[in-house]
Amino acid sequence: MIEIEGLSFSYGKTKIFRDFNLRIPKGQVCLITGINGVGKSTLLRLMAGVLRPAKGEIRFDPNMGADPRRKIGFISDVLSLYESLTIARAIDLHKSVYALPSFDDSLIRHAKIGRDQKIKELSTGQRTIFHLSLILSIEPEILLIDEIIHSIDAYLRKVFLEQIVQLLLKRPVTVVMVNVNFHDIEHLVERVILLKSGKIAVDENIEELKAKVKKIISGSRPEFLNILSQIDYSDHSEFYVYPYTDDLKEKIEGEIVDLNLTEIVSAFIGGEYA
Amino acid sequence: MLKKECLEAIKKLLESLIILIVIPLAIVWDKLVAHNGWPYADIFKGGFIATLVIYAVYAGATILLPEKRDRAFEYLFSLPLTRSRIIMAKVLPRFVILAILLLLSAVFIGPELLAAGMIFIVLFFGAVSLSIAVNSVILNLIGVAFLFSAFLQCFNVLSYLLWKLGLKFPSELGSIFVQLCSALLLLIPLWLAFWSTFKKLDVKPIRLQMRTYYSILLPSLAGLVAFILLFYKKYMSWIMAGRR
Repeated sequence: MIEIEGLSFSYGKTKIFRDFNLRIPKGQVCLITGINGVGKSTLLRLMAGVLRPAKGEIRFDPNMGADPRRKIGFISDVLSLYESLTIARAIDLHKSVYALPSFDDSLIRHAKIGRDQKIKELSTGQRTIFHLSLILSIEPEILLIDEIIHSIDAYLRKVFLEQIVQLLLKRPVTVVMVNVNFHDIEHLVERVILLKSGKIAVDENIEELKAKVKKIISGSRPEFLNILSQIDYSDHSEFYVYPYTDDLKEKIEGEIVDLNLTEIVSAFIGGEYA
Repeated sequence: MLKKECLEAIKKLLESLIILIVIPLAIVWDKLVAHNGWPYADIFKGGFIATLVIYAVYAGATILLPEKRDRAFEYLFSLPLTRSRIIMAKVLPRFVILAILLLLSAVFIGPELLAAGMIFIVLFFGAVSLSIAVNSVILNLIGVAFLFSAFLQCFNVLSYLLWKLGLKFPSELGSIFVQLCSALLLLIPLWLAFWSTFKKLDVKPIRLQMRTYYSILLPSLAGLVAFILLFYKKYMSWIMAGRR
């Protein structure tokens, strides 16, 4: 469980969050999205404890102990690690900090990472997998993943997501992901949160969201609906609408199309840029 | 964590020991200036003291360098470690090596360098305190040079004031006591500025988090400089009068 209450945060004079509130129940897989600079990664860093809120509180499950970081796995978009360490020394450091009796390096070997290699010699994909294996070793109760998996190759991305799925099958882990490749994670996500100007603009269960966001292909603008964004063609337009309800079906002239998560998020974000 | 920092401290020691490369050169030089009666022992002594000075400043100045260089603050702060544990793990191995070098100096050079050990502590902690604000080792060295001259002048002024108050110590003990007082006057605000910033440090750009540091450091240093200037003229007259 993650509970954020009255959170305020700014970078110098730039305010990112003011009186921000959010509750993510234990075991939920949540996607946070929004346009660049809205504060998605900042929110993740605040949850990970690497940024400190100016005001407000972030609470975790009391059974996570006095220092919740012991059970939080955080993969940031910059993949922060001691680059000059070898893999073996980085594992040693990790084991000593978390007092781990052993370390399963099968994932590292699978990604063709040598124990004598320096972290700075690894590719982005290998570093992501290495970071993931460090995180999995602590048996996290909360997993915070920034948009890093965009930049890794298709095979390692598959390996990465398989590991997440395995983890979720084992026990209820709260997962918060930021703007990751929507197509890859659609089957995992339960809740979608869209940030806008430091506030939550949309907060929906994914199935409800899919029912509420539709694409309408029509020659005329459906004025009675809230249009997120639209694409105009010579003979018709595509209108992305939210919230849509089935009782509006009869009023709509045109075709109503279901959307996948990528299209839904694009519609919201497109609306932000319009 | 401690193991990593120990290895880091030893690495810094080895880097500092590069100075010993100059010893063979010094031997040649010694031969050249032998007619002037410049003994090899003095060159070694100078080299050892230079190594100590370089290690004290270098080990202190680079205490946060791996985090700054590798952008590893995010990883470090995500670990379940308190800030006091992090700083202890960083300072302790470096300080222990410095203490060992000082003890070795007592063996090789004589106990007089051990009596001046406070100088190396000032250099080390001065460099540590500046390391949070300064990324360049050279700039840190310049800052430490300023702090060190403040320490020396503070020592001079305090010696004068204690003499004025009529306090008399056996000479060596008195010198150590005044060194200690000068070091505390300088290092307490420096360390306070460093620690109060470091304990709240997060992954925001460091320049956005330096307000507390400068608000403690600058008035404290200004106060110390004002204190030195207040009595410096009287100290100089005391020296000129040869009353020391």
